[in-house]
Amino acid sequence: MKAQTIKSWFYVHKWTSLICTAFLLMLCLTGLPLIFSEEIHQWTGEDVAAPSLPEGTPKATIDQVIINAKNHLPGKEMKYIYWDNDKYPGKMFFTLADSSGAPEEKNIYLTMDSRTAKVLQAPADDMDFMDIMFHLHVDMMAGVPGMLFLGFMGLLFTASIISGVVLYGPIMKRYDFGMIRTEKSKRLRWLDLHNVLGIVSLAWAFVVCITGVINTLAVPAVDAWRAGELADMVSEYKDKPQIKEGQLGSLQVAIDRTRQAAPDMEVNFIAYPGTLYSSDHHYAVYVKGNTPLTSRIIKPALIDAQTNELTDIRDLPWYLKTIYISQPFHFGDYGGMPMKVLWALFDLATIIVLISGLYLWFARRKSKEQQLSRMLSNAETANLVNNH
Amino acid sequence: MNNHTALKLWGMPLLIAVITFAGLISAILGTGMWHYMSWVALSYPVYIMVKYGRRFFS
Repeated sequence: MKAQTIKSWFYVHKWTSLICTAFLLMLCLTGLPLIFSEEIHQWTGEDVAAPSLPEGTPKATIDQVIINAKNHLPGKEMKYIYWDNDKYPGKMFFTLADSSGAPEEKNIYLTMDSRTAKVLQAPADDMDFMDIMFHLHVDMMAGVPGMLFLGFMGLLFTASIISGVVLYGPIMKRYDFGMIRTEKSKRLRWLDLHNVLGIVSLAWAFVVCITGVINTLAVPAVDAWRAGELADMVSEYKDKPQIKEGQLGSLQVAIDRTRQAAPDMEVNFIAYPGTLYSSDHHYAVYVKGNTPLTSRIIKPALIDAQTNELTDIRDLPWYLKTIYISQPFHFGDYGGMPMKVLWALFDLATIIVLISGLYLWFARRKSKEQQLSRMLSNAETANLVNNH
Repeated sequence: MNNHTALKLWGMPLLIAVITFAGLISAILGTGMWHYMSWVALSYPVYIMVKYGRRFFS
C-alpha cells in the first residue's frame, strides 16, 4: 500500500472515530445492563412470576382478561396485548392509553394472569434505572430524531471499523499476531492493545453495529408499511369512520378466526384498531412460526373488529422482516445466559478499544506538540547561534 | 506481498472472524447442540483477547 493511501485511510479512521466515540461509549455502557434486562427485572422484583395453580383450574377466556384489565384502568383504551408462553408462562402483557391513537410514550402497562384473569402487576409510571438505560440507548430521550442520529453514529462506527481493518495490514505487516510491546513506550503498548482487541472483536462489533443501525430505522419502516401494504390490505375500509371501543367484537373469536387461517402458526401479539400496528377498523392478530428462526418472522391477520371476518393475511414487507431478523443479533438474547455473558465480554472489549483509541489520539497530539516545540526551540537555538 | 506473509498477517484475523460468525449464526438455527456450538465458538475470540490482552498489564 502506498504511503499516501495509508495516510488517507488513517484520516478516515481518525475522523469517523473521533466523531462517534463519545456516543459509542454511551451505547456500550447503557447496553451492558440492557443485555441482562430480563434477569435484572426479575432480581429487582419488578417482574412478578405468575403463581402456580392447582391442576384443573378453569382457564379464563381472553375476553374476560380484557374486561378485568379495563376495569382496573377505567377510562383507558386498549392498544396492544402480547404474550409468550415459553418465556413468561401464564402472563399476558397489556398496553393501554387514553386513546388507541395516543403516542407510544403515553402508554400505560399492565400485566395480567392469563389463566385467572387477575391483575398481576401494574408498574409505576416513573422511569426506573433500566428505563433510563433503555431510552438513552435507543434515542437519547430525543424521539425519532435521536434514534436516527444514533443510526448515523453507527454508520460512522462502521466506517471506523472498516478503516481500522485496512490499517491493520500495514501496521502489523512485520509483526506477529497478538504482539503487545511492553518495553518500548506507553503509546506502543496502548496501540498494540487497541490493534489486538480491535481485530479480534471485529466480527462481533460489526454485526452488532449494523443490526443496531438497521433497528434505528424501525419507525420510518412501520410508517412506510402503514402507508403502503397496510393501506392496500384494508383499501375497502378507506372511507369508513374509525371503529369505536363500544363497537368491538370478541377478540377470542378474532383469534380463533386467525388460527383457522394460519393453523400451524402461533398467535402472540394483538394490535387494536387505531394503533400504530393496525388499521382503524381491524384487530391485527400477529402470528409467528414455531422454530427458532421462523419465530422471528411475524405476520398480521387483519380481522374486521366488528364482524370478526378475516379481511387479509399477508407477510410483512422485506424491510420489516429485515428489522425483526436483525434484532436478536443486536440484543444477544437468543442463546441463553452463556451467550449474554459472552455478549457482555465483547461489549467490554469494545469499550477498551474505544478508550484506547481515544488515548492514542491524545498521545499522538501531545507528541506532535512536543515535536513542534522541539523544532521551534531548535530553530531558536539555531538563530541564536547564527546571530553570534 | 507473497502468500506466506499474507497468511501470517491475515490468517488469525480471518479465522477468528469466521468462527465468530459461525457462533452468531448457530444459536439462531436451533437450541441444544446449536447453542453449545455457539458458546464454544464465541468463547474462542474472548479467550484470544484475554490471552494476548493480559500482556498489556504485565
